[in-house]
Amino acid sequence: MNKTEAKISGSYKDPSGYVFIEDGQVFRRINECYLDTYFLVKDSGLFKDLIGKRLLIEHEEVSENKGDDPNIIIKPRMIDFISYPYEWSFSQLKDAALATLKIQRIAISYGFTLKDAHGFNIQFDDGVPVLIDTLSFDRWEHTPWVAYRQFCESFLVPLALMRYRSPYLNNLLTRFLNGVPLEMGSGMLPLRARLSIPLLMHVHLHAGRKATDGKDAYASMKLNTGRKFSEEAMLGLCMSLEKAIQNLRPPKVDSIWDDYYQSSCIYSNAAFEQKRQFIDSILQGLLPSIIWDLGCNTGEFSLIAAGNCDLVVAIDSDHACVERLYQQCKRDKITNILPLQMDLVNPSPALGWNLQERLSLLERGECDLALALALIHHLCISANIPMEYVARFLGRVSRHLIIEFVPKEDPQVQLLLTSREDIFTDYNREAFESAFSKYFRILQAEQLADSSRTIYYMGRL
Amino acid sequence: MIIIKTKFGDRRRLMLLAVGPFLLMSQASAYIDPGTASVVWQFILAVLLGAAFTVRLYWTRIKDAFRKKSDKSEK
Repeated sequence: MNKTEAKISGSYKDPSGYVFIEDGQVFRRINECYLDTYFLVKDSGLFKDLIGKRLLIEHEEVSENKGDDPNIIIKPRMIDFISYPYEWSFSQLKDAALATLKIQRIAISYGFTLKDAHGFNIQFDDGVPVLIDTLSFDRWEHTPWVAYRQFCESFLVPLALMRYRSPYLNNLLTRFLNGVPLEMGSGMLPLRARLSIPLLMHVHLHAGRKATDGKDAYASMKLNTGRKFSEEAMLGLCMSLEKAIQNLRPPKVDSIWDDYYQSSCIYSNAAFEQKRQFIDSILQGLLPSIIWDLGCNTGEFSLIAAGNCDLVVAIDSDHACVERLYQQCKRDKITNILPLQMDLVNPSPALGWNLQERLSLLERGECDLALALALIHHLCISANIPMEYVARFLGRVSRHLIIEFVPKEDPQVQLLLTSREDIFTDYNREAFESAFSKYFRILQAEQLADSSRTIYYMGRL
Repeated sequence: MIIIKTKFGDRRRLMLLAVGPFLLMSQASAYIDPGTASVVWQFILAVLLGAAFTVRLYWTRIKDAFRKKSDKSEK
């Protein structure tokens, strides 16, 4: 390894190469042991085909294998924001699964196979799932799919659990980074899931096929070396997995949030328009690149912000809201909004070996502008988080902030207080401004029409 | 597949197909890569899924051929 290269800590499993960061740019070093395969894949036209179909991240070769350094380095195009499968809604995980199967089918037609099939190799780029691990391909020698089990545990089991049990069960992937074990998934699914033949085949019966001893392993090796796995069988396997995934429809869960703006009368038309204009004027002056819309609901304001920036990371704890926003972006071909399901009270932590394989939300960079609209009362009153803690968190993640203060007399706050004792004596506008002034300079403030709410624009100190 | 010839021949064969995979189930061990079991399972599925794929492929070709014929006759 070159002395100046900072190898990223999550890139240690594959001997074919590793990812490193230099001068803020991402590079992938291809080790000598993988060079032959790399050139075979490249010369076959597979990279070009997958990149053309927007299934693989583009890359350029930045060094040749010559002299004393036999390795080569490629520079993949940078992804604006790294997200993880446990933050995706049902349809995002489903689309990532279908993209993985499509890549496998195309790779087979070129004589290659995917050696990994987990969700962490997929990222959302311009609204579509793409493979980011360029070194995931091996020559296919008519063997069974080595990543079959990994695919089932990383995609099929979590999707089935989200569909049949709870849309929040993708969170199991924080505990099981290599995928939810088949046996566990099979046990958790209801009986009616067994009525689906593809699920019965790839989850329940597959779960029963667990090796016990050397005899089974020996049998597998014997089969592996002695018999060929035909192309029809491989494509049939992919077709059957596609069917299993496509049969799973988004879960229907009642949510009070997914038609919050439409069904409730929180804002008058004048207040909503005033809020929109306030945000629009700031965006046009600031020209931010990346915006985080925290507590985005169904993304009313993410959609407005998307017109004036490179990417909006739209975060909400409610799955139905995130799912709806993703579906809307797909339908309307809005490519610069990345909806993510995450509870800000308990955001994604650092995970994996040495807590450095998967990054926490805070480690994934700060944004140019954060939107925290109608969020503060949920954090301070519903979750008991002190105002100053909220200000410190927002000061850590964002250079600029648009935040709405919702006072105690607001009907929505009154609603929150009907079911609990009012212990929030310091929850008022003066305390809010005082707490946020420790981390931000208040640049603009406006009282919303027909409302007791105030909207602020702040810049970090 | 083993064929048991009895007066209930066909029915017995069907039952064998239905319960066969359950008979092959086994328990977990931390020292054996679970992927090896998936390899065996894929070989078991291969016959079924390969046949399904081939049938679908030919069915699509037949449909396409008829579609082309009807397009030509319409012209």
